[in-house]
Amino acid sequence: MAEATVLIVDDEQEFRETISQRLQNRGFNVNTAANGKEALDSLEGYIYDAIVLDMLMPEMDGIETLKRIRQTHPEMQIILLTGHATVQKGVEAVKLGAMDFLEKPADIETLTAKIQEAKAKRLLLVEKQREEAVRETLVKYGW
Amino acid sequence: MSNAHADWQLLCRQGLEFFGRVTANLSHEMKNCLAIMNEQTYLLKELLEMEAQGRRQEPGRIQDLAGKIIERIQETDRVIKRLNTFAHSADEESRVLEAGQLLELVAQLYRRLAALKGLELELETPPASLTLTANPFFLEAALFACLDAVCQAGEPGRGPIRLWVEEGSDEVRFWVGGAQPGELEPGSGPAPGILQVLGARLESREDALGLELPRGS
Repeated sequence: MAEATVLIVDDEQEFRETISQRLQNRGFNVNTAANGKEALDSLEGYIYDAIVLDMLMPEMDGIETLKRIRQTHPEMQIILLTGHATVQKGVEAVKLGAMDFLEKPADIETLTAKIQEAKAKRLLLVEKQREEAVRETLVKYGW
Repeated sequence: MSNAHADWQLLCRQGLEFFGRVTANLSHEMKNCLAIMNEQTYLLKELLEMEAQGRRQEPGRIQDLAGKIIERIQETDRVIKRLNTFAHSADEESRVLEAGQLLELVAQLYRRLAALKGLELELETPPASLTLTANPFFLEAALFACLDAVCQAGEPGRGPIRLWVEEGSDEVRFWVGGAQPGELEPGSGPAPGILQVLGARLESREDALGLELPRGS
């Protein structure tokens, strides 16, 4: 069984290809997207444990992509990657719903640990949603 | 505070803003290159470790990866050269400039910013003999401002933004075109203080901004 399923979103093809390969070597299932729109399309009918999202991309940047993903997939765990991490940007990203915020070049061990953390968080959220749905059913039918 | 002093302060601030934008942009380009090289180098290390453990890799894969790292190093070197050329723009208040070289530098400095708006730059290089005497730093700032104005005038991802030079008898005109007709904001382009320092005049067409400068000081 794969460690986790990850979507890498970055406009640099070589970066996507290389980091995908390194994650695959570590047992992760990896898909990639070259921009925000492709990332949103990729979410249709596919479940990811984590999305690794570049901040600066043409047209739809990482922050805008993050906002849109959170609208349609609030349980999705998103790790933002940036070339210049500041406390201010980190706070903004987390306020908008990012799970975490890493500076490029990111250490692969740190990144894989974050992805595992994202997977655990997502599973917990999904479990809570299921419990809530069961509770509602029980209340609805008076059981 | 006198008007002259206030004007001077404004000019300094505009110059610093331009300087900050360019250096931030170039440092981001270098960071991107480093991030890619980082991943590629570590992947190379991992592939070599796998080979050493008897897990044969596809023929040529390691060579291919090493080749990509070399290309990235060369790309990073080009970015640093651009930064260096830009930094030396501030060496002199006035010098003889090749119009084509200056336009090419500005295009290279702006290319990534244009790409973030889904735009490509197309440069028509004038002959090497076309020269003018001007302040390099503020001329680059003025052209940058023209690019900002034209790139903002219209939808992202539209046709290329064109840069070219027209030669007059006593003047040189730098043009930046590709705005959507009627979309150029009135008053957009270089700040008046920068135009004054250059002794330049701003011209406007439906889809382009032009900067006319005298050829000699």
